[in-house]
Amino acid sequence: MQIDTDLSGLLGITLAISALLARVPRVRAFPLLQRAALLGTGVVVLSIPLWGLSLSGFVRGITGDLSIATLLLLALSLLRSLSGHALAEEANRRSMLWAVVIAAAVFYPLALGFGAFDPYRLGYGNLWFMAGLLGVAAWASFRYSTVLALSIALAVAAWSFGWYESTNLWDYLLDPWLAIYALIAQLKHIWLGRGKVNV
Amino acid sequence: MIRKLLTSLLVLLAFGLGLHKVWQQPAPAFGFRLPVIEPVATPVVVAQKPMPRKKGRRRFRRNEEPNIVVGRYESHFASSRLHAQTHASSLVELKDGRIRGFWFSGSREGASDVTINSAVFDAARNEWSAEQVVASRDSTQRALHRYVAKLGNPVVGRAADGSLRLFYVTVSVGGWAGSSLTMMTSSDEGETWSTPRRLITSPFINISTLVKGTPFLYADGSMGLPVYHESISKFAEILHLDANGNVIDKQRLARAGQGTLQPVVLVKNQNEALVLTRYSGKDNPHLARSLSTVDGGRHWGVVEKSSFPNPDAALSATVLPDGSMLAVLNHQEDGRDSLSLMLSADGGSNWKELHRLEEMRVVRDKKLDEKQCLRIVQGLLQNSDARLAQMPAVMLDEYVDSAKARVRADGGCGFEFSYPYLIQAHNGDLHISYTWNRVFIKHITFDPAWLNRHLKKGINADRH
Repeated sequence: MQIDTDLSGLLGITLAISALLARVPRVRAFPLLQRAALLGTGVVVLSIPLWGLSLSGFVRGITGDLSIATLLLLALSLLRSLSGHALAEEANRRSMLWAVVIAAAVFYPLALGFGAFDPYRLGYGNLWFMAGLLGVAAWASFRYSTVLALSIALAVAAWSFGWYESTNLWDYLLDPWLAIYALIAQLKHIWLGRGKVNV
Repeated sequence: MIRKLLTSLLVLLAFGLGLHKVWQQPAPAFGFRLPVIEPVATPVVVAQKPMPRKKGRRRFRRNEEPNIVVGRYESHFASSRLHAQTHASSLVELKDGRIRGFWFSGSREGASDVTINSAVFDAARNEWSAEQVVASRDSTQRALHRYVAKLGNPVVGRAADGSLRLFYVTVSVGGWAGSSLTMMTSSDEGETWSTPRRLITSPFINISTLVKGTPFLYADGSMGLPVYHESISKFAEILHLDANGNVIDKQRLARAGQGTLQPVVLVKNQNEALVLTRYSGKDNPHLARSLSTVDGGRHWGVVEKSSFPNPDAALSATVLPDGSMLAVLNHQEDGRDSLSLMLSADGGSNWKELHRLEEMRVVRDKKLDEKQCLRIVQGLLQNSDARLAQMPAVMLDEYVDSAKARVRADGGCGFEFSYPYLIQAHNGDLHISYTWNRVFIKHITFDPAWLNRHLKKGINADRH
């Protein structure tokens, strides 16, 4: 099955911008139908090519394609803002973010040249890496975080289908924007938590 | 509990698909494919009858000895665009023996109007065609469906199926450290090109992969593309591309901090290869770096200092059929105002200068006024291309004026000969292209007879 990787990349960016738009307080104040209509209009505007390039395409040039884990979190956030119900518990989501912070802290320095070992190379279909990842996903689904397990599973499935241009599994698992978000979210959580204890 | 079970089921399904993919895709093959060079008997130029000299003096000048094969050595300007900045050329031999060159050209390096241009050198007519645009920022941006700010280094290689692959650098944000690679293919020798396609090579927003070195083939027909990383730290890498141009592996050749940039892979035989790199570190003396493999590229050895200096500038090299190596580089520790042809007869351990292609270090510290400087520029232009020597003065002035923008950029008289690219054609002819003062791409070609004569001269010089 041949997937148009540009379409899937642009869809991811459009989803991300829509999810961020849905979190704007003034947008959240609208009734559900108006909110959905506004987001639908946003999707159309983002997808219209202006001078040969859509707004999503412009953003994609800067951000690159977003990992499946990022898309999963954004989708959960979007569904929550539209439905008013969280599909995953906060603790579940936070556990996943911790895993992202730890993975990113180890992965990025090594992948960007610190030392001779390049973990990014494992993403080109290394069997041991896949086996290790399967172990993490299995453990996470029962003992740690179903959101983490789901994000790994969806990333592996998307990589198998060639969802993006990348042939490297890491690009489906993780991206720098997710790492930055996870780090800030967790630091903020710790900071606020400390404040509560002090009070 | 149901959610956990469903999640585990999804995990199993996804990994089933993943493992199926891993099982299906062939592992990257190692071992090199050697290029086939078949030197043909080319008409040789024999020195004219010697002019008699006065008694008491040596009867013949060295190159006027009767029956000495002089060989063919010619130079031209490959690029023809005036009043533009031109840089980073690469060459490929076409199936009919002509040479196609690529470079980038625009109002200045990094400008949004920079395009990837191409022209063809026809040896029979001894001239380069007019240059044509093969990729622009706009065409690339539309095809890639993402914002592109500027274009850079193009490198061309021939895939095992006979098609041409053109790789070029694109940047969306920031400087060259933010580069990504884009690829196009051509099945008609570069007349038309496929839609550009982005290669994903880095986990950090896919930035900081640049290309300069000549692609090579592995034994199974997959392609090796020497690349380098520049963001935060600098190091050399090799991308492994399958028959469809998909990235199937990436090897880090050196750690960060070792200053290895713009690797050039010299394939000696099926298992052995040497990599030479530009050195961008701070160690003195400023020597190029090298590393090697003895198992077909599966593993690469430690980075070593090479025996020749490198002023943080690109170099190019190739292996001759007899196993000796030729390189083109700035044989100096700083500056790029000379360019040399180097030879190694011992597999890359020792190098000696065979011929000076350009030499302008002599004017470096001289305080030349504009008139003096431009007179030198005019002489260099005319010596570089016979066409210019016969050109009407008005047209030649346009060339001088184009060069002036860079040569006198800082008010002095500074020259730059950089970013060489060296290939050997199937008939044994060698072709070098390089940036000439950032305004033109210069092309030098010589045949094996000329090379042999210089090799002989070198050996004789060593004996003395």
